[in-house]
Amino acid sequence: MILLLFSIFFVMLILRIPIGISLAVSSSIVLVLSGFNLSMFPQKMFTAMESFPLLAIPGFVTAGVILARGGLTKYLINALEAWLGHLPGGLAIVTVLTCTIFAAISGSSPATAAAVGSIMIPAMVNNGYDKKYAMGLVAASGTLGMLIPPSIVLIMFGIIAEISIGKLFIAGVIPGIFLSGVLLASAIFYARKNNYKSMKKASWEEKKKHTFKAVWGMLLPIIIMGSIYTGIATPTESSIIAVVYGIIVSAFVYKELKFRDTRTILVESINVTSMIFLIIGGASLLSLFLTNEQIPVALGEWLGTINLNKWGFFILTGILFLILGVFLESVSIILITLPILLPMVYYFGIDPFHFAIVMTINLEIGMITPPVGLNLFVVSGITREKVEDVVKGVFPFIILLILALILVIIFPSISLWLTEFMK
Amino acid sequence: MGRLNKYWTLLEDVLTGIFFISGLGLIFYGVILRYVFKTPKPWVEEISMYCVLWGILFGLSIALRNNQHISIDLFYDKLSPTIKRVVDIIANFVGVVFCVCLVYYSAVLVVSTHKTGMVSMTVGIPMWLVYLILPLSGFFFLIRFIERFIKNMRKAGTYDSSSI
Repeated sequence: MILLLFSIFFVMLILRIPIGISLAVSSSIVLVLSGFNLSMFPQKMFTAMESFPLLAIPGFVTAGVILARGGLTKYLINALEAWLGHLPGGLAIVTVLTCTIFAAISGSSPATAAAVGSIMIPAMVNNGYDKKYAMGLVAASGTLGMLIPPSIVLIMFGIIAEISIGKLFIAGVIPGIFLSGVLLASAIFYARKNNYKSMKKASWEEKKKHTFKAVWGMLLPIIIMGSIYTGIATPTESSIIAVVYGIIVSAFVYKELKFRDTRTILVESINVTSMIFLIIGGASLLSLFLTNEQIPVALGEWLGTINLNKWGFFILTGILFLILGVFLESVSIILITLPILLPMVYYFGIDPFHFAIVMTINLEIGMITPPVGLNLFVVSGITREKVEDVVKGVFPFIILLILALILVIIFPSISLWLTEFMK
Repeated sequence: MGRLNKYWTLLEDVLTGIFFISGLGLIFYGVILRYVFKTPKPWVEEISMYCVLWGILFGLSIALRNNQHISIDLFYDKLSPTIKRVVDIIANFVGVVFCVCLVYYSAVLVVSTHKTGMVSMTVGIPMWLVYLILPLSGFFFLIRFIERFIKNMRKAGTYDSSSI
């Protein structure tokens, strides 16, 4: 039965049917075959979407859209350039840092790569950087959007595993900064090796001017994480605070957002949100089938019979995510695999918060591994270059991120240390 | 046709916008009530959740219109134009069937919930009213699939294949 399910699912994927519909239809077919009535499925799908914590997704997606349009990204880049542009590899450093800060406001990787890449890739190329390198750097730094909170992937993880989303966000902070640091170090190293020229030093006047302009945007990550960390607001509430703050700053301080932009922002944000919610609905039918067939239990029993330890489990799941990452994007992977993997995580005594971070970094790497890495397509879309060229540029970063992932796996405290202080 | 499409697009955007924006606005209102006036209102959370969900579900057809529902191009890109056209026709046909089922069975759900008189947990909104979005959004989704299906039947490649 499960074989039938996955064959139908993959045939539908090959036919280029949207993933959410593929999940819903293939699961419905096998469920009907095992005696379920079609009429209960719409309600099942609706119930899966009917959750207040899930609303953090539209919230943070909208915040990201407003930020990219409302000038916050641009001013952030100007300020960072004024301070760091004169260092060797200055523009590469600015790229990584802007991605890091943007990631701390938006919840998704493609959004981060698109917002920063459209400004920074041309800037780097104009300053003599190798174009392949510039594209690779943006694609790789963009993946930080997924790990650095807020994060759509971590929201989904928290809902499926029924653990605190706020605490998951906190767990993502240090690994996020760590990965960002790794990328920064590589950027500096690479720029020194190739003797890339740096920009001329900005005067104090310029520094002051750009910093004052950018400070409004820089406050936003502090507001978001601060309100979650102190327990003042739930992630959903803090996402709405971010939206309102973003609107106020872009419309009244930067004056880059007009009322007539409402429709564009709405459509951009709904495009992403509806796509994710369709997948959530479709996956709810899959999980109904899996529970009904007691697949997680069977897998757990099978696990008891073979000799697998914790490390073997990390390696196996890593390979699994890499393979799935070839076909699917991150939200689908989480929805499909986590219900099955979760009992095993507990079986091996792995802290679920630690596993969440490891899984997220795995999925991040999946975003930049060919053939279906979403960030590769985003960057190729911005630059109008072939995906193959982006792949060449991104390859060294894949290795870097895998090394960082291994460290995060070996040292759980990188993920868990900050959460211990949370109320 | 072009004109009709324009108004239909506007209708989709307006319906989505009304629910999505007012829903998000309500959540913010809830935050203000709780932290500024210290008088949390439990109804805000439930109503805002259903509002945003209505917006998102109306938005299904918007995302389809803009080719934003993620699908896999890996195999598709390697096909010849003729086979691509066949694949498009099959894919959109499956979409049409999916939507017809969705509209029919969720209409059944609405009717049966109306009979049992189930209401929501906090506010007591009749659940049939909440579920009404399922056949409605299914219908809007269906229209867009039919549009694509007809375009495919007429000639290949009328919408571009970008899926990001």
